[in-house]
Amino acid sequence: MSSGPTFRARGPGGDRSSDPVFEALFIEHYPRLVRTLLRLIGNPAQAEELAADAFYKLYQHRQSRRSDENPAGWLYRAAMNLGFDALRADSCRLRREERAGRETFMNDTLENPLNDLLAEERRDRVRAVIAQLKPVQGQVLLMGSSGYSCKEIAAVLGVKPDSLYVLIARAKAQFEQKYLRLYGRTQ
Amino acid sequence: MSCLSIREMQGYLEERHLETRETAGMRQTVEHHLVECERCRGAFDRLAATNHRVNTWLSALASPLEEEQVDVMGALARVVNREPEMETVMTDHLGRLLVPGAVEIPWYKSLFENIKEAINPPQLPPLELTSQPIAVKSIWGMYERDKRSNWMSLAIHASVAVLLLTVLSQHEKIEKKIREDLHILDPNIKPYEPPKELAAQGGGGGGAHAPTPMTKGQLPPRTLKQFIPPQVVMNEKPLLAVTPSLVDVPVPKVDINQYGDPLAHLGLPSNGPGSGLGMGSGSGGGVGSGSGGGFGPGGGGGVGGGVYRVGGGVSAPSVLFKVDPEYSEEARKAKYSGTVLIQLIVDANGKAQNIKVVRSLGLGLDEKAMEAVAKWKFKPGMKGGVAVAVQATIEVNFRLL
Repeated sequence: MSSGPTFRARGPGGDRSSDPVFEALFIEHYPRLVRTLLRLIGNPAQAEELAADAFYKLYQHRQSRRSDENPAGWLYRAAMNLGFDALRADSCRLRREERAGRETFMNDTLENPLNDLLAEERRDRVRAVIAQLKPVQGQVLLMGSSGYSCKEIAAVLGVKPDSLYVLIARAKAQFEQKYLRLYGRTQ
Repeated sequence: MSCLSIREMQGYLEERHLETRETAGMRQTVEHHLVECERCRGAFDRLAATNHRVNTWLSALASPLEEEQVDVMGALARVVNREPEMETVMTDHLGRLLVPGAVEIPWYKSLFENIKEAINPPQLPPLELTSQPIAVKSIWGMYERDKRSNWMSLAIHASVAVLLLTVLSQHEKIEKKIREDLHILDPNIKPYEPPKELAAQGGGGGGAHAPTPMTKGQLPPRTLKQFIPPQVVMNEKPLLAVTPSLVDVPVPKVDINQYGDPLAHLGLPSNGPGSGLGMGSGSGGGVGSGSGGGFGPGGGGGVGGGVYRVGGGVSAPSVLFKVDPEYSEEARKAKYSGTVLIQLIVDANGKAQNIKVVRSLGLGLDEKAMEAVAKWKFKPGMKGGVAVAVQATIEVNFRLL
């Protein structure tokens, strides 16, 4: 993930559909961004909505130099921040309801509902621990687990790869410490 | 050779699968050092264990939902067509709410102006009153006070008060409550009064069958035992001088130097037309028309016309033998029960005399009670160790089992 092309300024008529750079960026990063947010949120509809919000914010800040230098990085940071905010803002009731709906769906469709239920519980635990980390640490771990390379993560965060390794090591140490404190060594 | 840094070890763990020139060199360096340095090997093992655990936990985030297709073009269309209406609205509203810049004065300017006016007040032109006072309406508004309203208010309040008093005072529950709360002290203090000593009653009498009534004179002194009855004509030379006396008689004082009835008329000395050794028209050793050793028309000792009553040294008689009363046929059929109160005189021989019904029961039960009591045998009342006639009251109970 390089710094990528720069956006053109919005036309006087506000027609964003005429911006091919934005369309290319959207087509390239939207599916991956949705899957990354899906890992963080666990709700496909909400993940798509957050990804769309991130793209919309990108357009709102298209005039700033920071977004022009590395729009993809800016986009991912904005999306991750939105995801972490949504993860922390989600009430327990809402999450339980969504989980219950998913479990019902899985029980109706899949072969082994118990395994799916346990897997969903593990996912909720990981999300709860990520929500307690610093945003940068959460982004590093989430993007690393989503298949992003170290270069891509460094480009998103705007740091050098050497610094990223230290950041990853500290993030994993923090995650392990908080996870063990919350749930012990049962997993 | 210096030890490995955490950056190098973490970089090795992250990039060891990549086959590039940079990673190959880094991998070779780290592996060589780990073979030689035991300390770094321990640190690397701990870091690798942490990486393995965290990667395992994070791998749980992968879900089958990620395999679903994403509608990229639809999402792009929604983003493209989204209008920033909220931004415009917020801006317009904020612009209307903000105070115009010409009105808003910075605080330091306002403070400076205030200090300046306090030190050097501005010279203002003299105040000229150009307005004139105008008569306005009363502050009590459009409704002025009316006397009729006052009287009507008073009448309504009074009627409500009277209504409440009359209605509530006649309410049974309220009356009952008032009675419950009203505590009246029982004025009956008889149980706490000291017992009154009953005065002994009795009578006396006597005489010498004289044709004239008993003369007026002083009563002889009272003694519990009478040895010589009073006489008008006394033995002038007795062998043993004994003063005549009455049996416990209160003395009506008469200043006459002879014995007689203090209530009688003056006349020639006489012992009276009675019999016995006393004075008067009676038959005992006393004075008066009675038959005992006392004074008066009674039949015992003391003063008066009756028998002794319990008290004053007179003991009560007690029952030695009794017969249960029979039930009358009428009362038995009517299943009638109750108590008959009988008054009688227990004479010195312990027999019932002068039996009278004080509280009647009817249906023949009174007669049955009198018949039974007439058969009773008493131990007579005693006065100074002597059996005397005593008036008594007996309750005869009639009960059906």
